[in-house]
Amino acid sequence: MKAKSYELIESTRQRRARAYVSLLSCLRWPIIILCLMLACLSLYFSRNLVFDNSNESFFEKDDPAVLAIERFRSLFGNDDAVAVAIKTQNVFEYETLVRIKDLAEAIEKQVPYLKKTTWLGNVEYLSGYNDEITAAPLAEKIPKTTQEMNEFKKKAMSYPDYLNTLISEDGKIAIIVLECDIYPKEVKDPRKKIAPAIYSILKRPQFEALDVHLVGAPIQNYETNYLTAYEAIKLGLICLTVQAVLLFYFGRGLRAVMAPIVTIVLSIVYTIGIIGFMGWTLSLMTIMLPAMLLSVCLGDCVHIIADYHRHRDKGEEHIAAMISTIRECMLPCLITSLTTMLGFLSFISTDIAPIRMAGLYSGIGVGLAFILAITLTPVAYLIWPEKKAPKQAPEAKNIWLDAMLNKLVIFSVEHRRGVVVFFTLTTIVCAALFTRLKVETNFIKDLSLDIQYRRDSDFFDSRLGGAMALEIMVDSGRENGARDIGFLTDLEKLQRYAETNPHTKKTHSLVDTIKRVNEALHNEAPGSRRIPENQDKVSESIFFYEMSGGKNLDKELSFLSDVARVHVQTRTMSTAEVKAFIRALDAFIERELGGRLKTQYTGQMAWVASISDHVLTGQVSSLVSAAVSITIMMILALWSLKLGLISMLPNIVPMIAPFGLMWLFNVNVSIVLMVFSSVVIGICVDDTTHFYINFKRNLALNSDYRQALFETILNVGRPVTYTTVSLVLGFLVFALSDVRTTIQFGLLSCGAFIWGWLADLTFSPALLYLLQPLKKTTSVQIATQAPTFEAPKLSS
Amino acid sequence: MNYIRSLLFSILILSIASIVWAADDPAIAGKKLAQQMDDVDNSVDSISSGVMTITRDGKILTRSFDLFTKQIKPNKEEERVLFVFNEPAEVKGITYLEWTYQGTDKDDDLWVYLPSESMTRRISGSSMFSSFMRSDLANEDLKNMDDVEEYTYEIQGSETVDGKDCYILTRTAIKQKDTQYSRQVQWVRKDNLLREKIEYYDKKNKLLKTMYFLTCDKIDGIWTTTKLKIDKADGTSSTVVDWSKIQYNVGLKDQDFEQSRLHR
Repeated sequence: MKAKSYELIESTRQRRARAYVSLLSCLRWPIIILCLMLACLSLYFSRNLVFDNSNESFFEKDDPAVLAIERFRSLFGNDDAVAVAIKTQNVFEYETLVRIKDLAEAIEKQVPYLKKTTWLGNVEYLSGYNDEITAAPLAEKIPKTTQEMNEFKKKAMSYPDYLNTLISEDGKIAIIVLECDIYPKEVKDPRKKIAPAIYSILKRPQFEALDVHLVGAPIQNYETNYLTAYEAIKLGLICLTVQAVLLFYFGRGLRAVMAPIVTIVLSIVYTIGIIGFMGWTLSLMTIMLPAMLLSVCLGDCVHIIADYHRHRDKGEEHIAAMISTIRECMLPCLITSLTTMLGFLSFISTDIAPIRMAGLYSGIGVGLAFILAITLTPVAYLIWPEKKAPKQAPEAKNIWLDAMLNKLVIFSVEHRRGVVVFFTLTTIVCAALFTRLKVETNFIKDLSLDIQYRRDSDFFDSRLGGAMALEIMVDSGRENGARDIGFLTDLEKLQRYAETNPHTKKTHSLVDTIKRVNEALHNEAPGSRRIPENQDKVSESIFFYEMSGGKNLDKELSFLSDVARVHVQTRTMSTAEVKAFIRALDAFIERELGGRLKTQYTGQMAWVASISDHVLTGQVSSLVSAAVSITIMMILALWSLKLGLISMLPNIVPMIAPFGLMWLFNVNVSIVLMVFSSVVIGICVDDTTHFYINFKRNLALNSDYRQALFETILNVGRPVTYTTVSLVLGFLVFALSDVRTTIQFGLLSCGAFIWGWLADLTFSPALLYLLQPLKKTTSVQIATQAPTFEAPKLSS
Repeated sequence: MNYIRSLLFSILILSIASIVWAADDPAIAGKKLAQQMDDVDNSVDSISSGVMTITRDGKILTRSFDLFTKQIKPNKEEERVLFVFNEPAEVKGITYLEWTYQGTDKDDDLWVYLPSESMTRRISGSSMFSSFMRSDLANEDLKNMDDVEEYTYEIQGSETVDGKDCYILTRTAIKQKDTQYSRQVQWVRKDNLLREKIEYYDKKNKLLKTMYFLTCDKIDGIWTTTKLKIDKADGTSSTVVDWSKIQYNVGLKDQDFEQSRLHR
């Protein structure tokens, strides 16, 4: 009865497939022209692509991290700054200082959106002698004589605020600090204009020979944007080459290579065009997009081509073979594309904006690839048909592969309980290991040492005041409260505690300025570098600093004097270290300061900590939404609750297994790896879908589990193997990335795909034979030899 | 004889031409205008009270002070200014004395008296660039308003601003290192030679802020600005200064402006 109703469905599908092929045959040239026109339009819109790798781009506008930085900027101005370190033999030489001065002046003049450019020559130097306070540049003129130079050096090296900020402790590295102004709202992304302006100055003949190292948010943002574009193109092209070679190796001639490649390239071009048209932004999260789409979306084309050749090999005519192909492939391809889309679209449930957008772009790309695959691939064959049905002997490689696949099924069915226990146990162990993984969201250390910005960051870490900063906004809770002597005393204790962290290089706050003013007011008397003893003197010191030309007050004390800023400069720290540091500061305030100081953290370190808070929750939410939506899709596609649920088990296995690998190889969970599991399940389910749909059809026709399993392996074993090889090689391309997390993503994905392939070909048969979810069957003798069949050529 | 007559005639023509040319030269005319503007206030001394209201992001700070000025030498060659701060309460009693000298040769002298320490300290260096009491006024804006000799001038034309016919006068500091501005563009009323507004441009020639002279009165026969407003070009901040209790020629003594008297 079931077999008969199945035949009825097949007949309906056959009619629809015929109508569809006829339509494609009539419209083949208009379709080609339309595709080309859309490609031109997409390329036109791709001119508008915007890259954004700023810290703010990671969060929603109402996220606490964004609100914190906005508050900081409204209180203390723009926190963006660039440090230009110049490595010399000795900074304190006339010619060297002249060169640095020239560079500082050129930067000040040419680089846009700068509020202040500070170097050793023009930095504010406060001194007090003979009842006279001087607030003046450290060097009004570059010292010429040895005596002048020695005096200048003595002043420069004795002022703690300058050390590792403007001059290295060994006197060999000078730093020019560029502070950015509040960016104008009417200018589109002004931050991006800073780095190119600096690079252009450094290329001038007089500065070209300087050994310069740059760090700071505008530089990092620019370099990351460049890396995003460069990596996306590099990895995309390599992947394209790899896939083309693979298609050529497995395929039949140029058409079997060109049709899938053109299809996927067009889907990538359209996706990019849509991104440009919509004005969406690209981030470092999207560098994998072209390569990933290439690897993931080829599956549909491959299945269509393979099926076509299988039918031709059976002796069917060209059009009949195409109709049969469409009849058999349309539904699995639609389902696999939908499940992959759901895997990517599950990113939307995360709180990190670039991840959400990467999921959306990938989802769009997969959808477009499906539409193009089911139109362009048949169209290519309709325009350029094979003249006659080839009669070929199966190739040696296919015989070997088929034999191996068959043995796998035999083994799985024979040892079904063992296989099920093995996969269940390994999955449980790997899931348990997930809880032991650490989160790491510090992006800098993920960059390869080949990247200049990474090297420059390391240079600042090892030779200067560190490349990371934590900004602490300390709120007194009332106007003028931050001028209160009690508050300032607590602030100083907090600073001293922050300095006990081994990564801290230096701290700075209003307290340092007050102490310095007090010292200058008392003619630099020993012991006078301290907070004055009463409130009136503290107030007057601050006022005096203001009136005497002190320029830093706005950076240290809020407009209403209710909030003070503590700047903590550190070496690059891991996420765990950052979070531990912030926890320790909070604990210190509670324990030692009676909770009197109300703090809010921002700056690069706080960004790292905030992002990490979203990573684990994002991973779980994207995984759950992907798993749930794909399960529903599988139940509907297989039209069986039991079979649908069983089909998810071989998908969960490869999704969980990489956690074990991550633990084994000490790989931390990063932003990129956060969505790794969703990608894996979205991709692995494709092969599972082909397997289960095929199995269900074969079971309906044969009513025998053993026979149905062998038929299934005969039909989908090779395509599944081929797509796995294709995916593995495609994702291996990520190993060539300059970003460590991308490499990890690629390698772990490869592991997951291999594990998923193994699960499809062993765990699935074992489960199906063990549970027999659709109907009972008689006990059978398992064949010990592979059935003989005429193997189709293109991996079908 | 004819030769000498021709020569004399040529000299006469050239002289007339150069006078006409000089009168039309915007730089010379600009300096003349600046001098005339400076001459508007011909008082020997003055007393006034200032209230400064600074607004940023909707938050308001208020500062108040009394101001005493005295011309020590004729033609404003040397002027002395004394600020006595009243508000905020924590800085009440702090006094700030400034001796300013016409021209570019001599640096100004500044002293501050701190009552809690009973201490007077001379200030030198680059205080002119910094903000005056966290307002949008820089110390140099207060000091250099009428220091004619420290600038070059050029009249750019005329324009009507808020119904008042004005000259457009650009001034540029001779010693660029002593200022944070590349130039200032002033709109000067033709009727009383008071400024209507000033635009300040930074060293990259970007507009930094605009000062608006909102109200004026003729006090003791002298046209005087009584209220002004400074708006930052980026819209982040503005400052209003209200002047009151203005009196001219009240007979202040030179000794009142000595640093030794600051502790009074």
